[in-house]
Amino acid sequence: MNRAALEQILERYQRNPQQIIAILHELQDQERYLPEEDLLCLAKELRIPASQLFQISTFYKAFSLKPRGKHQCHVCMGTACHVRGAALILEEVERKLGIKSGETTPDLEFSLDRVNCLGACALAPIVVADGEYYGNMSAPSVGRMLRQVREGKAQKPRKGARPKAEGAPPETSLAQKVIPFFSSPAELSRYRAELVASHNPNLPCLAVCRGTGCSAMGSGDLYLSLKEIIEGNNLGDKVRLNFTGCHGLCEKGPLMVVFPQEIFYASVRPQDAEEILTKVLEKSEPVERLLYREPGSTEKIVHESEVPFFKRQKRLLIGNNRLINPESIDDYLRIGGYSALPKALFEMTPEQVIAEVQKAGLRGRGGGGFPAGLKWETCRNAHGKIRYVIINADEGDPGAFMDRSVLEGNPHSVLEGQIIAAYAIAYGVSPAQGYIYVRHEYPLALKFFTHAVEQARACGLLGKNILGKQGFDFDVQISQGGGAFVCGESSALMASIEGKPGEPRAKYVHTVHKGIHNQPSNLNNVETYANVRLIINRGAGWYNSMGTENSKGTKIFSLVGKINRTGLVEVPMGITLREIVYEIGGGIPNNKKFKAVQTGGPSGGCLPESLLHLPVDFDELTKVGSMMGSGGMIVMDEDTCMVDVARYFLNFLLEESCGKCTPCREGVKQILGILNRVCEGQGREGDLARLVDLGNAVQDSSLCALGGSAANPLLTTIKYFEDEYVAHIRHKRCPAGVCKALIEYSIDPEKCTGCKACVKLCPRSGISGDLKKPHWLDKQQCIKCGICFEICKFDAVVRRSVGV
Amino acid sequence: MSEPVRICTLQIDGKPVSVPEGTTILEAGRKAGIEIPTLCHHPALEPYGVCRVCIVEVKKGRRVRVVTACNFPVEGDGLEVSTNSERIQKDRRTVIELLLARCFSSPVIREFAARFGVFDTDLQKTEGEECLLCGLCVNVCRDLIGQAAIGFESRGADRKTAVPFGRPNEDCIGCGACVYVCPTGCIKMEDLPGERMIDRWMSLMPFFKCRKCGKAFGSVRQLELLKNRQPLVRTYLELCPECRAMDLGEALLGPTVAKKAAYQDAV
Repeated sequence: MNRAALEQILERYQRNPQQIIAILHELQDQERYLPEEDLLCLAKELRIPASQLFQISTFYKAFSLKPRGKHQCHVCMGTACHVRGAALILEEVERKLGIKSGETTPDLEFSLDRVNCLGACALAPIVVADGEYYGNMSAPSVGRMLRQVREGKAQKPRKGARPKAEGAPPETSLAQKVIPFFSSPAELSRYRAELVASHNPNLPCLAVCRGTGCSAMGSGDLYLSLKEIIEGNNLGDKVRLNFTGCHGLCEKGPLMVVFPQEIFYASVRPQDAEEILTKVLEKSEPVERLLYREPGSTEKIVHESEVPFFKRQKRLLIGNNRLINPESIDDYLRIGGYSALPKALFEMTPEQVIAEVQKAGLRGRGGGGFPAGLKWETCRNAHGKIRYVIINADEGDPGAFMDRSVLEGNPHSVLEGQIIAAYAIAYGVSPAQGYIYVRHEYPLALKFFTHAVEQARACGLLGKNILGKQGFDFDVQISQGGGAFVCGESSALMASIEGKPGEPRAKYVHTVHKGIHNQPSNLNNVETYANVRLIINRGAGWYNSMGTENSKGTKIFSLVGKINRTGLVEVPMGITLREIVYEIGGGIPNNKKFKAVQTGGPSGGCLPESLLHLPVDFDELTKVGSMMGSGGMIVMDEDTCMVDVARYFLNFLLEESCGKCTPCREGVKQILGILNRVCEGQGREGDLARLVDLGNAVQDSSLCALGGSAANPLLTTIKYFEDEYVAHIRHKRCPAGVCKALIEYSIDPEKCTGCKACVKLCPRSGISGDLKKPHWLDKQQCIKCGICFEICKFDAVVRRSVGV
Repeated sequence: MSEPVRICTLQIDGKPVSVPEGTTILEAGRKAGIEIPTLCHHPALEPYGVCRVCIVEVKKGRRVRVVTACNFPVEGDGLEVSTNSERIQKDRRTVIELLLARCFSSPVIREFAARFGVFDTDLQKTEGEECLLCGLCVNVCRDLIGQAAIGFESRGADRKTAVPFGRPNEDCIGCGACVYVCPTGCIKMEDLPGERMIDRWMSLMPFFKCRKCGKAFGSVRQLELLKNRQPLVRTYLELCPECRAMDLGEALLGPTVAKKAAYQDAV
């Protein structure tokens, strides 16, 4: 990169060495990698030692020191994708491109990478290439996908799976709106009253979902189609169009709701736009074919609240998503946003705010479940010259996309909570500075939250003397991740914000006392902050009437995997696993048998059917060896191998480990080594005991919670699915039919119709047979890629694990 | 005005000991005459706490946890530390076994492991690795020498010590501090005729030759750095230690010797 361009990037970030990750992203976006000479130049300009910049460039997996290909292909290896077959898809991509994950083709055309959870699990398994989403992938469809990527062509709509650029939602022309400056709560209330008065609730409003799942399925095009018709026919005063946050039932996207009747349309396509508008304007019945229908039922459901998926939820946090455009602060204000902030600032002291949050019983939603009020109080009372109030938006658990949806759907709800927290923690004690740390894989969340911060600043909700409160100054700095799950850990996150590699440190002195720059720092999860305004607005008494004795309020879950209705679910604490999986999730697809539900991400565990009666909250699942975690809930069925699941999580952790301490770096590696051996049919007697011993040592002696909880997936699967381990080790058998070395494929001549579909696609040309004659699979050639199994429409390909 | 430091009383393996608040368990142990094993610890540097050999069990009230002694600060009274409970023995042995599997090629690690009764392991061994990633070399270079010539590369199982971009680095002054602190001796420094070489960092640099006797006694870079950092007389750094001593001696004793000579002449 030429010197001038480099200077421009440096200037854009005020030559702030803390912003090194953002600077490197910009450099890489332009150069397709990080050239050594540019890095050395940056080191000099920012006064960072070359060795530290080198570590940063190699620590964060988003960066590459070698030129990347023209086409960047990312195969999602999140848990939901894994359970739906991502591993075989990755293998097929590797085979077709001739490179392994992490490499670039010699002609620099393609780069291939794994990515851990894009948060669009309704489309699992997913491949993202050049920013386009290719959902519902299978090994047989890889060839076609690569062709389309090469040609830069968009895929024709197929079963709701359609590539759509994630980072480029249509322009919603809100940026031009000028927002007034509020120097007092009265001015804010007046403005809000004007918004409410000028809003006609009886005017039809079409709310199209712009959440990740729906966007990937083409909701952007739907929105544009509707917009075109409305503008083209001057219908702007007869019908309102809104592009809103995530509605939640991602499985059925693209979604839209027609207000005021709350007519719920699912799987809507751009070509449906005209009919929808006609029906709305004629005030006639809804478009029947777009109405939601339960699988196995012919009854069409009209209203959103009657859809079983939504019926049992309590959508206090995400319910507003469908009413607002995340880029519009007016929408947020109109529905009552920023009423909690003036109440806290002018009707309550900081101590009263803390007391209210404590009384409400709000516990951290990021997985730890630490009482938020206590954390705020400790931070307020700690010794320091400045207090940092930080949002942890590094949501890294594969299969979890709750925070993403909240940030993308209603960013102001999170910001409001952060500002209130800053008031409670710092007002009257010290200056405060806000941060948000957003993971790199969420560019839309980053964009919308940044936009929300700019809007808040413009209208005086951030800055000096906020809303006229003398001496309350607060602003928020945006910090990005670089592709490191470990940066969700508090001390690693703060190191990353400081511009260092995201390595955790011992937490014997907690970050609440010594965090960023050794100052008191309050770190809370996105969802935790989103709860704050509810507590302030409606009171702790109202809040703690929901939930269980020690777990108050609601919790958002991302319900994914082998489940009929994939999506975002918000329920009161204490609801049972069974209710979530069956009543809300609609049970297991294809009449398969439920096997396990995994919660808590790589720190959590798998629970079997016998425990489905358990209520979900912070403590009940922990009692049986798992944990609720941040909200990722992956359902698994009879086709999921639990030993493979343990192996999957340990592999994830090994990739994400910072490598600093012996037990995590070496221990997880050795545990994975044994699991790999077991899955390859080389298990030995004594392996189980060895795994437990190693697991316990890693749990006890690791430096941070990544290593400290690394053994959980292993230990819970051994506890509840020991029979599968025994089958693998002793009988060399994989009951679920997953572990390649232990399965074999064959063709049932009775069922085979001789269509030759598998013959054409077999990568080893290992299936032979003429048209209309039964085919024959050569076991010697078979590499267990699973393509024939996937493609056969007649169930003629048999997969068995015979064992010894 | 600073507050007076509290004195805390704790028990280590049943032995009572009193230390100022903030003292680490490792230091408190030494005071009580109990030596807790370490590998990545060095008295001249801040504790890094990564090898996990120094783990101990601590109990306060009802809460029991496993922590590293080198950086756990004692606060308040009533802490009960157990350096050799069954749980710790088991965990520590596993940690050492993991290190042994990694550094089986290192005689130092094999000998260290033997002290704890770990002579071999059925875990997968790495070939030819002697670095245990204790971080002492990186930390001494950055924090004590102030050069930060070396660092870490990548993360997880791929983590390794490295020079940036795998090239010889001018920040390395060939002082040899990394060689000195390395517990396994896997950083080798060789003094070749006219040049100092630290192979691991690809460092190769010329020696500075004594202005008086011509002996090589330090790398040019190291001496240039000292000149810039310390307000020392230039000539001080251009003589080898022996010639410097003689020079100084002459300067101090010179008048006395001259006087004595003159006296003897006179007598």
